[in-house]
Amino acid sequence: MGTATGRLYWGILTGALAVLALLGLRFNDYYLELVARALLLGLFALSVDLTWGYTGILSIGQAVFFGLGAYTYTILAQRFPFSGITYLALAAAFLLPALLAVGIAFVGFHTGTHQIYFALITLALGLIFESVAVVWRGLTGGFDGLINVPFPYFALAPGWGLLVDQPRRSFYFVLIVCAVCYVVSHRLVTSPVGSVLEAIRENEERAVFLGYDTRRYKRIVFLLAAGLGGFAGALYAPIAGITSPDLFGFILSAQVVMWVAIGGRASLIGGFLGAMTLYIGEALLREKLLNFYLMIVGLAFIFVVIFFPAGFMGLVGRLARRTAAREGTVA
Amino acid sequence: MRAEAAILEARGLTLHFGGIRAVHAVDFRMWEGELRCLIGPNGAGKTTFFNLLTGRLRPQAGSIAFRGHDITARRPHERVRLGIARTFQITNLFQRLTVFENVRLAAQRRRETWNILRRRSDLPGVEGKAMEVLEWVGLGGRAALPASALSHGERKKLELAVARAADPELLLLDEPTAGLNDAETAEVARLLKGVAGRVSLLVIEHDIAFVREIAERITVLNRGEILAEGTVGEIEANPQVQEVYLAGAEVIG
Repeated sequence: MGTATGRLYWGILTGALAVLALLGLRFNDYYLELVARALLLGLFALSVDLTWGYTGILSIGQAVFFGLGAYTYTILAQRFPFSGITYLALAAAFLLPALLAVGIAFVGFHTGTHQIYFALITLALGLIFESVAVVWRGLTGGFDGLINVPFPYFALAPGWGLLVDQPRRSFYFVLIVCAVCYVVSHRLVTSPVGSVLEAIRENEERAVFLGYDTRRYKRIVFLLAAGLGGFAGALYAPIAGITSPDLFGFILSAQVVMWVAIGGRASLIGGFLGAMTLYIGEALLREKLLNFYLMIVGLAFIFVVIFFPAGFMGLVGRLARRTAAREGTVA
Repeated sequence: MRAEAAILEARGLTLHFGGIRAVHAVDFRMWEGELRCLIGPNGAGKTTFFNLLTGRLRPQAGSIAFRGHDITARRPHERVRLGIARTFQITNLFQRLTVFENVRLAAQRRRETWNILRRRSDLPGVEGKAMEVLEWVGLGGRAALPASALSHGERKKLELAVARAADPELLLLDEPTAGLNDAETAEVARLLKGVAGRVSLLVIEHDIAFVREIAERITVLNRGEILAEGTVGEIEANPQVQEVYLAGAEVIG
């Protein structure tokens, strides 16, 4: 990444963060919740960008982790309502999906398992989890899901803590979480580990013959992304107010891939842009456009994949480089 | 015999594809610091032999030892870590990454770290090493280009630079001059002779003039088996070798 593009990325990020933080003061409850949900879906998209965008691992069942995180948090927080449960539930919502990812990686990254089979394994798993969530009513509430998801309560001292219940509190909490996760992810992709991930995406066999244990790298990034997805799901559940089987669903899995593709792969910020624009757009336009909205998004996805394979951020990056080059020749 | 100084030793190495004996019962030994050429007609099993040595393929029988340690069961990346690097007959690069990043990634392996607080640019010695090997092959001025923008000859040189960037002890080169013009071939010969002695080199080659120019010893592979081994003069005088090459309408010299 050139420095001009790098500056631009940070510019967009801090600008967006500042605008959102200011808007948070003006938003009514409806918008606070809508944008907070969109941000968490963006965080989920960030996790997909790490695996797919940076490392080239395409999973089309990534919602399994999001859903698993949401259910883990919801079930634990509902059944064990003691004051420190939020910490445990959030940790479990990270660890359980991560554990599942290790299992998938063990099967899916085995030598000779083609990428497409990996994608299909994840797809199948999504369907399985969705069915289980419908059938296992005692635990999951079945088709209706679980309502009254407890809000996160961060116990800081006996009898004293921070309850993240009001929409405005949730909004700022989510905003901070997303910013922190973004910065950590940014460190990851700009670190030496990140360059190996890119190498795996570009030519895994060559990376092996440079001496890198590519399976290990893939396993670890897949595990981290699964945990991050689960964590996003866990925070999403109380804001949505309901944890239902569609959180495991194929539609969400497909959508998150589209958000990343349209926003821009391997840009980190692209996932947020895609998720927020399209999710908020859907919420605002759904009444008017009904099911046409998904059709339009689908068409946009095809258009982007064919004409702008690097997505919106890819386009921005190209323009920035062109401008930088022009300034360079002038100077 | 200098048995104690064998850097690479294969015993009874065998891999058949169906009825084809791609590599059959090959006993092969290379000495520390040696520059060996591996020649043979098309389909003789040279590249398969390389793939067995580097772990891309698993043998059905036989063993491979590197510096006396059995590496037959080692995975490819582990063999690289031990000090065996290779290039590919068809150039195998990170096409969309820059020329510099291609060699930097190879050099970074020696400083592999999971610390995400490190920047890729501040690993000690890595960028310097990367630039050094690029200068070695004369691609210093091309560092910022994507690898895909290089000419065929430049890509072959970049492969050499990538292979050397990790400071291997044994370098396996699969047809480093394939598709190169005379000037480029001479350049590659000069580069290889320059590192010979410091690195052990095993080179698959078709260009006999090139082989004569660089090789200390030659191993001839035919139909998966070793046909002959010796100095350039011995190999050229070998009637069996001449027969094989004449039968394949390829002439030595």
